[in-house]
Amino acid sequence: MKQKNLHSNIIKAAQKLSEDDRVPYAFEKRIMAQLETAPQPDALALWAKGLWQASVPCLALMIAISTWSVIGQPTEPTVDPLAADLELAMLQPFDDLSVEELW
Amino acid sequence: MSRPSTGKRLDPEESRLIQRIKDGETACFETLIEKYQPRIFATARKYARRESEIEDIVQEVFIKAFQKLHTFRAEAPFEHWLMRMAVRTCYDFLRSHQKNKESHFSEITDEDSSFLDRYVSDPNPSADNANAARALIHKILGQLSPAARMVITMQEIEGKSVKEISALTGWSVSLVKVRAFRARKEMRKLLEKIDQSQYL
Repeated sequence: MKQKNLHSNIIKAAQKLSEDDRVPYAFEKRIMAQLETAPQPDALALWAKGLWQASVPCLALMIAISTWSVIGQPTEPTVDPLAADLELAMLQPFDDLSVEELW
Repeated sequence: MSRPSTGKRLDPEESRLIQRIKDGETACFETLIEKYQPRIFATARKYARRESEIEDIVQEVFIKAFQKLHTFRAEAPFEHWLMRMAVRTCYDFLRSHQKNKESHFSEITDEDSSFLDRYVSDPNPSADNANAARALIHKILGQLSPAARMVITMQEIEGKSVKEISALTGWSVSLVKVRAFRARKEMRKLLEKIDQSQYL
């Protein structure tokens, strides 16, 4: 009960307070001065910063792929039967040609 | 100073002014600052206590507004766009100052709660009492998490709807509902702790 009362008093007291919208003297001049002295964003610098930030994940990806290609190397060379068949079919006409015909 | 309009239409004069700023007439921005700074100061004073912090927040809001003015599409009043920026800046301020909480529960005494009781029932409170009440409210609300403080301030004190809070904070409607539920729970826990500490 006491808690509920305190909660409602906090809310009521906050609502009762008038908005404090006082502004320090010449505050707008201060902001304008700040805007005039603020450096303009440099597009090239932003681009360079982006590239530097992207270089870290790229490097990590490169290391991961290199490691995987070294460790994940199959122990025995594998021959894809489809590729072998295709190669055979493509080179078949040349096998039938004599040496003179080739030149 | 007259209060800026809260209508839903964009003021044509203001629209022309914004266009001039976008075209490079930086000096025109001063007119916008003069018009809206009381509103931004009032908002910042709800979340920060020290004048230097309040001034920093307001300055940051206007500098951000100037830098992002090219993204303002003039589909809604400039005031709404600026208020969204102000609320988000206040939220960022609360989050960055989360570790420096103003006081401990034990610092809120029985005398403080009875003062609040008297203040609420007083029809004509003095300026000193109003200042004391403001300080006490900051002290209590300063114990809440940033999200809980934002929701309690906007929903319970200012009486804003969930949709309005969602538009101001950029949170989804369901996220505002979840945060409002958690904020009430957090507030209950805080008051329990205050209550217990008074009897220790």
